[in-house]
Amino acid sequence: MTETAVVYTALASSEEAGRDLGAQISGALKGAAPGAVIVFASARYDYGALLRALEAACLPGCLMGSSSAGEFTNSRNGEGTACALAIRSSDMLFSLGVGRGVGADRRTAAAEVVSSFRGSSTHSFPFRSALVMTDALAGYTDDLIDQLTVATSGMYQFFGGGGGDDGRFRQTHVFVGHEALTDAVVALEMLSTKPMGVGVSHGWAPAGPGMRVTEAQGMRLVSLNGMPAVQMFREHAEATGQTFDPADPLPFFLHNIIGIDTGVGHRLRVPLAVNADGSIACASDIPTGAVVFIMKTTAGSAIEAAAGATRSALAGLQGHKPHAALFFDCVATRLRMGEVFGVELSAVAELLGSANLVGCNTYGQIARAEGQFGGFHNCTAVVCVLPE
Amino acid sequence: MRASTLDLVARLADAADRGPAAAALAERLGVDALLIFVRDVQLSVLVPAPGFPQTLPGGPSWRALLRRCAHAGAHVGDVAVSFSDARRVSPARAWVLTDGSAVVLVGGAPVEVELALVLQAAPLLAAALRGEQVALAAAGHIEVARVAERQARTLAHALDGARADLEHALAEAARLGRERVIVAESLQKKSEEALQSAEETAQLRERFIAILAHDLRTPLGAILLTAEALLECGGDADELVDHAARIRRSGTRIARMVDDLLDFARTSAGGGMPIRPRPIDDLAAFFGPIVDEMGTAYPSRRITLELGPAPRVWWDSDRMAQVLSNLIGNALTHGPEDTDVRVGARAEGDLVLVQVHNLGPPIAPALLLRIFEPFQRGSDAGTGVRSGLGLGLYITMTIVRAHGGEIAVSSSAGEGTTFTVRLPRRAPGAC
Repeated sequence: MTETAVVYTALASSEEAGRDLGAQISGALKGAAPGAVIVFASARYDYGALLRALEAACLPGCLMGSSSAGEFTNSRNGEGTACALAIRSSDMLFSLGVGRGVGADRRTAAAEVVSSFRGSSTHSFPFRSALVMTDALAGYTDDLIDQLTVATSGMYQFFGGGGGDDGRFRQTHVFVGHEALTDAVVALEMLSTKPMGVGVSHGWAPAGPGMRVTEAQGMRLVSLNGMPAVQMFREHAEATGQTFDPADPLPFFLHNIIGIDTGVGHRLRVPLAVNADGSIACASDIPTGAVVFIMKTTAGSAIEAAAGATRSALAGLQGHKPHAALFFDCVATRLRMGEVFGVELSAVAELLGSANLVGCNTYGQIARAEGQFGGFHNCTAVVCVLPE
Repeated sequence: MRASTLDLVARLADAADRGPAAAALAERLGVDALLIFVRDVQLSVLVPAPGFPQTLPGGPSWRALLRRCAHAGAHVGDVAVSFSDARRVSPARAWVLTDGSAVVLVGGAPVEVELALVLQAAPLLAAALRGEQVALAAAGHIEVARVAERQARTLAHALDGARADLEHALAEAARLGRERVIVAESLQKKSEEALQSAEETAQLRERFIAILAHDLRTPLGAILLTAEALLECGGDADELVDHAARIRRSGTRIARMVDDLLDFARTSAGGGMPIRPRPIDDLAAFFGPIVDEMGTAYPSRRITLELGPAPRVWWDSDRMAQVLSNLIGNALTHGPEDTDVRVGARAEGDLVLVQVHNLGPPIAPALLLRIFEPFQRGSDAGTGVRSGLGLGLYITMTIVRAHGGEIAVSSSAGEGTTFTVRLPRRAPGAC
């Protein structure tokens, strides 16, 4: 039997916010201690104070989570807030793993995380999943997920994301117990008697013709078709009636990202800034010689992507009814959609029926599940559904 | 010696020398720069040929000129020549070749004769440059594919790990399977043994009941017959004494059987054989009456008693008398009529050794192994008939053990049968 509680607070005081979350959890679970609590908190909070108060109020077996850039539940959605999912279940087994030094050595960090996992020593809980939250600004999440995949022999489905900091991009944290860590990854091992469903989808499509990357240096896109990259973005803005200010490009980049043609789809890359030489700084490498597109999305396609991810996750339950869901979406999606992001949440909640929903906006999303070749995504909706 | 124009064009085919060659050729032509664009096979747009600057200063003028180059012929336009100052422009001339490639000259005024030579050789050069561009694009695709390859390699490694885990799990399962088979076989064997034991117990019980019924009925029958004879004897005193004696013998047999059954029931219930050791100062005075009593019961038989120097002992005299009676009775029953039964006792260190010997036929080896177990019965020497309930030796052993002693038997055709009892002088619990 599985019981969950989804809680949310907008209290400004970190200690009060933590206490409020803990009290709500304790009330919902009738005073019983939860096996695990997953918490997402805005960068406005003193994480340590919030986590200590939460822990003291509901005494969870495992407490983990991350800083975030927007928090939400079935009924609440905001920024500068905190939310949490508490789980108490006889059908699930939880363990908490933490790896440090992600920036320097992902293999060791992954090994540290997996050393706490118990999946290989128990056969009573055959379905293996792990919620992975990482310090997004430590980077290398792609490699980190690869290392976790190898360290677990591909026997786990991973989902989660990179912690946020309200869109400031200064410092992101992951939570382990009442500690907030940087340059670290934390994973909640979730072993279950029933399958958990993970779905992933993005709503981006090419907005114009393909362009040859004639010059790129790592994460710096220099030219497209021989022209400075910034010129191609400017021309695209003019052609599509958008405003593009190279001095303040983020509003444009929220709606226009780069898709690398992989032959079977598009690998999304987020442009971050325009350099003085007309090159564009991106969040990840772009190879010279590749064909890229400027990608577009609409509120409608983002909502449909989130709904598609939810449908995939529900299908992964193999007939079991959903009990609760974790939803991660890109911070850019929230910023781009503004109030309409609530419509996306409603679409997800509607598909989930009476199941609890909780989640946050992240810097990059993680989904290494069945059918997923890669594990790290950008501008993508990731949904994990827990069965009843 | 000055290189010819065609030599410089030829040098452009060498990717490593392309930059200097282009600069030298531009100088020969009297222009600021020479650029060659090739048509991207996949995207059908003009892109700088490999080895030429891959990022132009940009601006709408370049885009406009290259856009016009979608059409055959010669095109002109002013293009930016500085990355830092977009207003610095120079005139540019472009010639579109038959394969869609374009030769662009920036600044100056090209020397017509030299230009004609360049344009004459350009298609051949452009073909080579297009090949390079295709290779460059392929390298880009490979780079993109490399990410997928890395992911595939990751999954392959993960699968290797999963396969190793699976092999380990299968080996473990096989090992457990083998162990379970062994355990199952052991359990089956134990089960079969238990079944056999149960069957044997059931057979023993049925046999015991049959024996008990028979052995009780025999003396009871004798008592009833004698009682009838008493009624009919008419008061003859000798006959009355004879009948009374027979009734007493039969009654005694029944009483002994009942006593044996009670002892057996007591020891089988786990209570052990209770003894009350008391000092016996004179073993001769203890053994003598027992031997005499047995002699009286078997008047045709001779029982010899050989006693060595014997110390004082602390035994339960009643129970030890029962031991001696059982052993002597057995010896009398199984020894031939014309042979003696020898009874001996002597000190042996802290022990007292008691032996009872007869010259009867040897006990069968199979019976010898189980002779002290309940319900084991031998055949009478003379009749070959099995007698008694088969509890005597079991009770004897129980009494000896209760005294802290041991009992053993040896039997052979030449030596006869000897029961040897070793008893501590002081039985457990003796004061």
